[in-house]
Amino acid sequence: MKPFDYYKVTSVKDAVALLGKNGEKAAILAGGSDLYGLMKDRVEGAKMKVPQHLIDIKGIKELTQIKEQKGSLRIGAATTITDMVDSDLISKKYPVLAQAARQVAVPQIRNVGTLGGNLCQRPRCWYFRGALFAGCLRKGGGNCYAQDGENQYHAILENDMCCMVYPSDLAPALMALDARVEIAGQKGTRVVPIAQFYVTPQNNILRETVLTPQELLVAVEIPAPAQGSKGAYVKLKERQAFDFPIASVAVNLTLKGNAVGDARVVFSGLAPVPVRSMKAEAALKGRGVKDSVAAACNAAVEGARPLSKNGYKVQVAKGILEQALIILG
Amino acid sequence: MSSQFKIIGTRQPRLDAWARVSGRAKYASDISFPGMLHLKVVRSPHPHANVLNIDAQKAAALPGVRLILTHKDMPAYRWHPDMPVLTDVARFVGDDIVCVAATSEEIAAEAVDLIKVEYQVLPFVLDPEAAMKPDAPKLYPKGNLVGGKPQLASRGDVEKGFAEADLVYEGRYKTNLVQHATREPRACVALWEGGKLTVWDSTQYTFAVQEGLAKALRVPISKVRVICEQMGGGFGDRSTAERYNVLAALVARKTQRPARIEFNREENFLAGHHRYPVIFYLKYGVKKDGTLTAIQAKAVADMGGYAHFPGAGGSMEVILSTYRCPNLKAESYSVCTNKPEGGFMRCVGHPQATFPQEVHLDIIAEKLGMDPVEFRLKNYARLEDGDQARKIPFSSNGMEECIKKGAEAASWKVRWQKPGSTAGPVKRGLGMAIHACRHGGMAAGMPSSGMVRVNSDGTVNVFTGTSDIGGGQKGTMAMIAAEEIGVPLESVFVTSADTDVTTDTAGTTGSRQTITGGTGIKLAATDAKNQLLDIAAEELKVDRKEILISEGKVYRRGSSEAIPLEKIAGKAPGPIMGRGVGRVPRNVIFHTQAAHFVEVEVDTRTGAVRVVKLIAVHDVGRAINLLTTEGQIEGGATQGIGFGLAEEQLLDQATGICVNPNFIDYRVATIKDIPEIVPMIVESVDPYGPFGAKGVGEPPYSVPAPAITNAIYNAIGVRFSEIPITNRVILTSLAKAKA
Amino acid sequence: MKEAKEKPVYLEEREEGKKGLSRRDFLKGVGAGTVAVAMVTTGPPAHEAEAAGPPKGVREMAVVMEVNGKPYRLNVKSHWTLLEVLRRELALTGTKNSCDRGSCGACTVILDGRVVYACSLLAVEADRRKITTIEGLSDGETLHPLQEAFVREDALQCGFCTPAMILCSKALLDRNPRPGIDEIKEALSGNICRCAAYPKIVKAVTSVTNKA
Repeated sequence: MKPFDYYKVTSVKDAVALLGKNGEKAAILAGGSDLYGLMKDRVEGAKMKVPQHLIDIKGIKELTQIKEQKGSLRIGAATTITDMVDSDLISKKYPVLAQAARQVAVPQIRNVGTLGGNLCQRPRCWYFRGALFAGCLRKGGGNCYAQDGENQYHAILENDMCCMVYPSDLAPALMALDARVEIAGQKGTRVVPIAQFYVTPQNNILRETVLTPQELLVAVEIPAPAQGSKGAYVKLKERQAFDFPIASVAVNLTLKGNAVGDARVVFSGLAPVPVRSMKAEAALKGRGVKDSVAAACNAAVEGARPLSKNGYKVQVAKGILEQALIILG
Repeated sequence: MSSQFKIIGTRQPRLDAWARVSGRAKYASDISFPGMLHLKVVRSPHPHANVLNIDAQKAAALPGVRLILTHKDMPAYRWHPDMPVLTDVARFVGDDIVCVAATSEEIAAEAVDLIKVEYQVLPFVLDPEAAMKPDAPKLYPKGNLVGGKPQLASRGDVEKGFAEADLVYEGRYKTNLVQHATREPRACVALWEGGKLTVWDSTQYTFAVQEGLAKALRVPISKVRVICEQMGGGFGDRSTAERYNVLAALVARKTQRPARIEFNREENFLAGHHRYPVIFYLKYGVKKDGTLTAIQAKAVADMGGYAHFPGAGGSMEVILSTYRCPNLKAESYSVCTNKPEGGFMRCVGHPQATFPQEVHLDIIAEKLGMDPVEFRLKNYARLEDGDQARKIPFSSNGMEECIKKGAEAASWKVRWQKPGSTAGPVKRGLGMAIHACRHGGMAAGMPSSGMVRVNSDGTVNVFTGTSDIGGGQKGTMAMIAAEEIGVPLESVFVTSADTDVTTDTAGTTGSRQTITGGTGIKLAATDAKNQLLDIAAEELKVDRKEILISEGKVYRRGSSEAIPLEKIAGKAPGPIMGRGVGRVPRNVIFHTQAAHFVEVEVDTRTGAVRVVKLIAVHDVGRAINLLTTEGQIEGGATQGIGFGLAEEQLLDQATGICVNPNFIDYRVATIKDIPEIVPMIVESVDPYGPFGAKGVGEPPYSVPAPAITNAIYNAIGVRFSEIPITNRVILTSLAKAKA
Repeated sequence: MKEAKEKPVYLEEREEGKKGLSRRDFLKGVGAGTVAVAMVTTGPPAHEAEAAGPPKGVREMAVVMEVNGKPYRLNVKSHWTLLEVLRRELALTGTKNSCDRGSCGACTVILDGRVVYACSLLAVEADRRKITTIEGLSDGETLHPLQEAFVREDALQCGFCTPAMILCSKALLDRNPRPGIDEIKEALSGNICRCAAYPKIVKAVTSVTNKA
């Protein structure tokens, strides 16, 4: 990598101060798995530069804690994924999140990778990541190479402008749990429901989340699970380790007797943002799970606009939702 | 397996295991010297371009930069006539344009950034069939077809054969671009001292590198030393003098400093060798009873920017010799395109042909209502058929036993059902395939040699040119020497792959070291043993024939008195050096045979294919070391599964740029991806191999892909003619079948 | 080259059992004569407590890390990875570079009991941490039982992924001496063995767990 300034901070205040000072030239360093890859691959363009200031937040104690408070759970953004996997609290209260955490990457990455890093990771699109594809929209250029290119793994929804897919495993699980994200900035802290944390390409092609360069993700808070709720996370991968999802789905159901009271169905791998399928949820509400599998699956992929090589993802979305519902049924 | 030997056929840990498990093993990429220079290469971002101008002024002025080389500085020698060491015509994205040498890797990388190359971008072609058309962009003035014309082969009368057939079936098949992805990247260190060049290289063939460097630098071979003590995987990626070898040697000579080059992973994917994609057109004619009457085949091999050999002909060998068929016509076209270069990769050319043939014959068997196993048993080329193309006999042939053993182990007769028989969304299927090829032996005229020295204490040193790239070749040589002389295995030490002190055994390629290296060592061991017997005869005052050596002790026949070998060896008048040079007759060909039986599960909801169990039966002539023989079958088969289901290097068609030159998007199997693999060994006891052995390193790669493809058909009733068969391919085909 | 000014390395007193080096540990180790040669020193060590305001950014830093039980004090540039430092500065070449992107496993080391990719960690992040590389497992000529098992079962071919496989196995067995096959595979899933010696690797690890 090229030289940069390294800062080891011990408080959110200091981190925010440094972000305020350096803005887009700075990057938050937690696990670093994604950040170092971007820097080594020289992913940059007209509106995206390799950072010159790395702010190491691992020393901020409050960011690495998992705490129960008044029934809800607060997970610090620098909590490692392994700590999440090992957490009894998460396994007991939010099995869909535990399942998702277990399927992230491989042990070496889970041991250093963090919740915040996982939620804020940049796209895996190989045109975005390819230094030779300098004109990529997301780097500030004028072209989406994937629209007519090698788009086997790209988006089938919300893909008219940029068709990368959002790859995180944790985000769909957290969205299915109605989590909230706590952000520290220059003027203090703000809380954003996780569904509003993500930004579509139409709204901002240069960013995947609402975080400005002067802000830091500090925690995710998950409300207490509803009575009778259960969840499942199904991830389709080509290899059983390392792989990002071809597509994945987090399903959280609150059952009233045999019928579904409330449902959350959230996909990764289908669109540039995690996709909550309200149509699939509606198909599930008020009925027994087994009775509504087919309807939910068909509803989930309504409006899909496959590209030249990714039409199969329509069936994948249905297939993994079916598998999740069978687990929960 | 056989009890007639003490060491041959046992399970032995490999000789350099201690070094490898302790982290002490020094690979070429671990070698370092004080004052060493680091090389980096500027690579073309264009698939086809003329280099108009190179501005390296800023780079040259950077402190720490010691040398910058361009095509103008390159020697006239080329390992391959069309491939200069640094080129002024880029023929693929990643082609070598400029070389920088600096005092650190970081400075070299900075220098690369400062070098500005002006290109004249040319039209490019990525599809080999398009590249054959007269209006295609030309990579070379003479055109894109390697050799200017196809390789032709024929026997009998195909038209007559088709006329005799009850069924004629045609198909088109395609395999894709695949790379070795060796764990150790390409790397070497070159040192020039007092007119002698020493190179530590990660290579399968030190003697080829030696010869190439001697020619390139115009120095005598005696003054070039190439060493490869450990190699972190080869699989065919480096077995010749490569461009990076010449660059390191040139820099070392010009600067009089040690010079190191190591490819990063992206460079390895772009500028290493590859398994070249091949398109096969097959037309086979059969009688009702399954007899093959005619084979007509056309192969189009995509050799990429630089073709080191006509790869299509290499693939076609499988079509020419696996099955008995009197009438055959074959055309092989090897075509250059603006893609990464095709070269050698495990079982060169053969997996690309075994896949089409075994799928094609599976289809034909079904049309005839015939069990695929019965079809193979009826038609495989037997010992008496020999190599029908070369018209010489096979040295040995264990195919029948391979097929029958595998079928029994798989309970084929009981478990093989009609396609699509499983209820529910997850379907199970069984499939099989066979493979036969001339890898696993030594061609006449190939170097085979070895040296053995017996020390005064009765211990033994073995000197062999073989590179141990992971196949346990060092141990194989030690076992052969120990068995032949009659000493314990622990008393043998092997020096290998050092051109100064070992001799040429051809490259660790073609599954041949057991034969080339092994025969050389066996003959050398016999030579050394005879010298010991002579000394013993004189000492004990009996005839040579009355003396035995066993487990490091000397015996008179009929006597149980054990004389320690050192007592005899210590009496030698001079050093006991055994020398061996191997030869095989020109009128026979080594051939190995294999059959794989595989069970798969296909989840029709997600397109996921899970290989449940793979039974891999291989005729190895005689297994020298059971542990490493199993390892080669397990390892090669796993790579072959990847060839069929997961691996492909993809190029963006609009720009010719590879989109996945990394380990995330080029999917090499992890430990969680492997099925249960059952390696089974057949021993046909080859009359020409040492102790009856043949090789086994490569054939396991060739068989899984078609066996799996046939099993997938058996599971879901859909045929595939292209690999890899990913989720996308399964679901797209299932959707089409429904429509 | 600037004048090297040796600044004393400040080490906080730490309670027994917490991760990182205590002053006591460091002083114990110093006597073994294994402190690495210092290079140019610029800037204060970043772990010195700052009174007010955010810390200054540093491009170089003095770090102390315990590698295979020995403390090393090094001046490193902040952009150097732990992998570079292990291989180049400490000549511990058992840890390999195969992708430099945290996608293959060859650079695996054990960091405070957990396996990590050394290529995806800065040397400055390893300050005051305990690292085990493959060289730390054998004691002279005596191999660790896992290493012996790999030799015996032939759980390797080219050997390039072998250090990582062994370290991941060790980290697993330190946590759980009797893991099942799925757990073993999960623990080793972050290492690609291209030679695909996987079946024998699983056998080697289970042979050690069965004896536990």
